[in-house]
Amino acid sequence: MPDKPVQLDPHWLEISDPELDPATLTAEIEQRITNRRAEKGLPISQFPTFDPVLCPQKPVDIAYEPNLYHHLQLVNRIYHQFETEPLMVAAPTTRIPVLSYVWGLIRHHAHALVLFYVNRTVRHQTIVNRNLVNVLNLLTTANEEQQRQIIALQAELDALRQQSEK
Amino acid sequence: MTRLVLHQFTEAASVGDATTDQVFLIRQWLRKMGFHSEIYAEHCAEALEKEVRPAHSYRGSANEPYLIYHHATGATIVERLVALGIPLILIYHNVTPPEFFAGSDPLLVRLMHKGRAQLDQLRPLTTLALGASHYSEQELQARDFTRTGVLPIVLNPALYDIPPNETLLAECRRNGPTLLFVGRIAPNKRQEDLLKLLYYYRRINPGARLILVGSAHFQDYREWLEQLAIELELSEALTITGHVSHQDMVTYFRGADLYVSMSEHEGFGKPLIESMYLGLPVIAYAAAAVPLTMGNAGILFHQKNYEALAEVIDILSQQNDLRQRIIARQRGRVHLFLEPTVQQEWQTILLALGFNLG
Repeated sequence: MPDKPVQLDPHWLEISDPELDPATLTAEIEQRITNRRAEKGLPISQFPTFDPVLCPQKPVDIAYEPNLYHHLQLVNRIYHQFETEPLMVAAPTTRIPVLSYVWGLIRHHAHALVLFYVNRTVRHQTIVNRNLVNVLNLLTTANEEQQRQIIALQAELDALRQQSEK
Repeated sequence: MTRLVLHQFTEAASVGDATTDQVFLIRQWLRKMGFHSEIYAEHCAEALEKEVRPAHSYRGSANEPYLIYHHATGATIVERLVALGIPLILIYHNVTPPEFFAGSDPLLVRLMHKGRAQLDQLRPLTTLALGASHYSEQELQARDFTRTGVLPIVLNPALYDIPPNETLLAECRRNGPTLLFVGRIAPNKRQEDLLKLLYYYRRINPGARLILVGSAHFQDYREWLEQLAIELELSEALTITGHVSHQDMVTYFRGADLYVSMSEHEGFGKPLIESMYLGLPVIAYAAAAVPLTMGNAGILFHQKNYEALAEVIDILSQQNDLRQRIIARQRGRVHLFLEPTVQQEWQTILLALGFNLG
């Protein structure tokens, strides 16, 4: 059961009505939350988010595999970078006035059509990439934490061994 | 006497889009005032092809002092307008910050960057830059546009005073309390946060539902939302309608119990005023243009505390006096955005530009 009353930021709610007082409403909400938690327990407070998970930085307190961070930072930087513009190099086809214009127009439309379909695939691939990169970022962070715990436990074990050897 | 000419340009004309609706309404006003006025677009929905001319077919005439251009994204039409060199009345509907699409849609990121950069390209040609909200006007001023103003998104009452889809309305009302959000399914609209709120609200009211109305152009985000709904065991309580007819959209407004917005970027937020007009209380996250559109109406929140928001929703569903008071203030506020008011503002703008409206 929750042990302390809920306190909301006094300015979290805004009601521009002279006859309604946000502070009174906030107090009522705080009381309701306290009662609700007492009745139903604490709700979950962490949800997945669509935003990309940030790439972890190289740790300064533990040893690490340099390649892991090198590749991780690189993939974080490039996984969503795709060329999405048509690349129209000069065509040596013709310099005939009208024909070259028409030919240019056809090329432009053909490029745009191809890009339309390519971009759909690129968008899908970017989503797959993002999810994989997010997982790698999270796993790397979790790995760091576990590494720190192992070091702490190792130190504790060494201390206990030393004690028992005395 | 020479007839006044004032044509409008937009990158794309599509059905159910706030910018396109505004373009059509302005054309109607201009024609009523005696102008010769057409709409030109680079891309046009099939249903609008009879009303909208292809941008490449535009031929200027001598008695055209200005062109009107509606800017909302990175647009190929800008190159055309710059090449024409005719002074512009720029109507800026705001460009979504590209960061919202970073890592998910490279094409959109590029388009949004381009849309912002194009403001600098348009500035030397622009005689008057109008934001669709004060928020957008502030952005124009920050980009060194000197002569600026506001022409808000307008709500035409005739389009909303229509009979609902009775079958759909009955379906809406048959189920538990319904939270509604209208807007395309996109990361900047933060529909994911609405799901999180629903999760909390269903701890209080297990029959509650969430309806998300709007096109799902951003298919990957929709799939992500559906996955989140499965994880939170909310699939049965969530409806994603996709694009709906105007009548059905109005019906959802009429059938819902509360309009909730978690959106983190709105250039104006037309569904907010649609809710106000149709008598649906609004509770909205105070981001971007939302506080300026809401003004002194509805309920705004500055922190996404789902647990607290769920209690606010429950209070609103239980305390009818509070609910009615909020609805009444919203009805007062929405008058600023109704057609007669905005049309008057438009006339004032044209007079200030030197048009002789007789």
